Amino acid sequence: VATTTTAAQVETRQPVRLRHRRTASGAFYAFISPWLIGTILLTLFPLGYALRVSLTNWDGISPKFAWVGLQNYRDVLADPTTWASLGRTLLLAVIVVPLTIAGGLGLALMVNQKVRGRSLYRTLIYLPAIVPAVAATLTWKLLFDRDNGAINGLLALVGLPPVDWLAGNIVFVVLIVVMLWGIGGGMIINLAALQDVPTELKEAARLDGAGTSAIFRHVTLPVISPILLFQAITVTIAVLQTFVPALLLSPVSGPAGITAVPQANQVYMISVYAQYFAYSRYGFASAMLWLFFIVILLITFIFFKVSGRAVFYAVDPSQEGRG
Amino acid sequence: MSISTISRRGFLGLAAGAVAATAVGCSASGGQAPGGGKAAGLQVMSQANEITDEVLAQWKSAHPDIPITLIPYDVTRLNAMLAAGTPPDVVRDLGAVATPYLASKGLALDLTDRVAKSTLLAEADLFPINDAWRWDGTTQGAGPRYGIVKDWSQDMMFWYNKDLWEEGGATVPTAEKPLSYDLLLDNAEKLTVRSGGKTTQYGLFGTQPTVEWISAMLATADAKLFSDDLKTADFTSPEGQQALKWFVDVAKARVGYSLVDVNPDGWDWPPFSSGRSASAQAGYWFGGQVSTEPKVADFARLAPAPLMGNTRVSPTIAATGHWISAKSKAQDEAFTFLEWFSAGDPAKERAKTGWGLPATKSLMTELPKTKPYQVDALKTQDSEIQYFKVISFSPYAQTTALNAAISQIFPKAAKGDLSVGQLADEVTAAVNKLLDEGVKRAGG
Repeated sequence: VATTTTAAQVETRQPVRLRHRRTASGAFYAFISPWLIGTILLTLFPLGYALRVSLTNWDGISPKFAWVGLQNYRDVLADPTTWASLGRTLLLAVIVVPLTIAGGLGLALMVNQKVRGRSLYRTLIYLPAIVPAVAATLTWKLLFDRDNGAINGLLALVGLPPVDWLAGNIVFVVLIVVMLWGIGGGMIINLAALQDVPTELKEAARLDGAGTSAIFRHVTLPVISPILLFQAITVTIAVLQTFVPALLLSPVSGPAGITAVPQANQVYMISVYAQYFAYSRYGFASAMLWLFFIVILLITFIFFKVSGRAVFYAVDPSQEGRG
Repeated sequence: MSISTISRRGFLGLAAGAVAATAVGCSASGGQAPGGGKAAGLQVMSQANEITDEVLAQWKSAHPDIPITLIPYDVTRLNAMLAAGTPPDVVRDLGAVATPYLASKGLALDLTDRVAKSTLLAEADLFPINDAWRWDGTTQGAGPRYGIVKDWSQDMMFWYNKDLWEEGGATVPTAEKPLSYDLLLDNAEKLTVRSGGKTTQYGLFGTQPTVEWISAMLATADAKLFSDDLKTADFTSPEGQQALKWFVDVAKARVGYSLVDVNPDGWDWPPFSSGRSASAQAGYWFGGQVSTEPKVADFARLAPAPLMGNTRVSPTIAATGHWISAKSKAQDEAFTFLEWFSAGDPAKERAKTGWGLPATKSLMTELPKTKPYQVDALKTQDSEIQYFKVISFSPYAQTTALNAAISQIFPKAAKGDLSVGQLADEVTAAVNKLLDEGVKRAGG
């Protein structure tokens, strides 16, 4: 059979293939354009704007300002208050991230059991996660109120003196409690992951003599490890950017409360907000944000690097998507 | 070009165009010439509980050709509008602390000529409080006018619960004889009641070491917080340390809400009206609030401003009023609104309620004097007004920023981690750092 393609055939096939490719790429760009334009306008443009402001001594109002080069970055790096707030933020992440992931996984393992009324338990545990953060924080603030809070009421019942929960260092504990209150969100993700673990793998392990603990360690954990990595990254970023709960636990309501946030709760974003809107140091605050952006990028990069061996992918991510 | 055949280069070109358009749009608005923006009507940034629907209806009836859009006061939004070069035409502010900043930045319109020609705001009829809105480039209280007061009070005065004070054996002040700050603290200790580890009644009002408050205290000792050129502040002077010590002593004694024992209600009225606090820090305007609860009217009395030194000075730290943007395209209409709201029918109505003293002397006759507390308060106020004085604040930083810096350091002293001398040193350094940044921004 002659397989030689004539010049005429080539001429007719090429425009068809080219048209098909153009149509496909057009559809691709059309579908991603809302996200791409949104990213350019709402992320890249503000980032660029903040970068520009970070190179000035602008106060947010004054028509006069000067270009100060990298001075704001040097000031941020030399500022002990900034380092202290970064330290508090990292401490918060070190405490909250493992507790959120481990707690969510533990709850998911429990409600994954075939027990009576498990749908009800799942709902009850998940419910706090859908309560708006503002409402949840204010509720906890009322519960921890020194004079009228239920927590001190319980302490009084057993003869203990009232504790000033919303002041001093102990308010950091209250912040942790508030942040862990939404742990049900992690439970739902872990539950979905657990239900995706192939039963045949667990059955095979059990036939080989593995116990519950061994099956969890050697079958369940590896299979759900990509989900755990996903949670580790997203929860870490969310905790590093903690702002609303810390602000709402301030004894003074509203934006003015920013300067009344107890020192123990002055996490990084609180410091940034204070620099912008309490001190009117827009250049300094923008430099803080840019440095924080770099820190978060670095942490994410480190997560991916160190998790390489610990995370099990059923499909090699480097090969995924290749036809 | 149909969407199905758009090329990658074309798509990126479009996206870049969109970004460029946004950037150009922003810079265009930022570079708008003075007066750019709205063609008709006024944008007024103020509070809806002051410029009420009724006030707006009155305005609409009197000036149907000048529609008003009320923007709820929001400092973040104001900053954004200023940054974009499209500020509101009229803005509410605290003249006592904002004038140097607004005037020196060229943000507020010079109203001197307009006021000179005004009949509603006749110069001779204006209370000296309006001088708080004046700035001559180096001093507050003199030079061009940049705003007009809405209504005002001498804010270092305070209200006390006469029943609690008399029962507690506290020295009761008279209109002629103010208390010293030290005696005020002694009184507060007598009036504070504790039970089971909780404070059930505070003797003193809420306190916070702000530059306004400390400046007012220093004025009674013939001293100043800011240097003559307003470029630096000094809390380390003997008078500065005396003032700081008083705030530290109050916080340590826990005889009133402070930065280390913050009032959860945010202001003095709730604890004062409920009897949880025997005093409230406020001027004459608080009488309007008192009138809302008859039982409070029975015990509330106004006291003159306390003294730290021997000179009677009773300043204002607010002088709440409005300024007109230098970029307003409707400057005449904005001034018409300003004089109408500050000295016209709405001002007359406000004066009748007792929510502050009017901007003009002629409206003083409208102040309420039917209830005993109102008669007493007016008597105290009439005696106090002669001690009014404009205190100059710095144009190089907003007082909110300076106060934020102080409030970050003060708790350490209140907890005993810093001596008063160390507190004065640290606060002076922090405040001067912010002032220095402002001086550099101004090219000084």
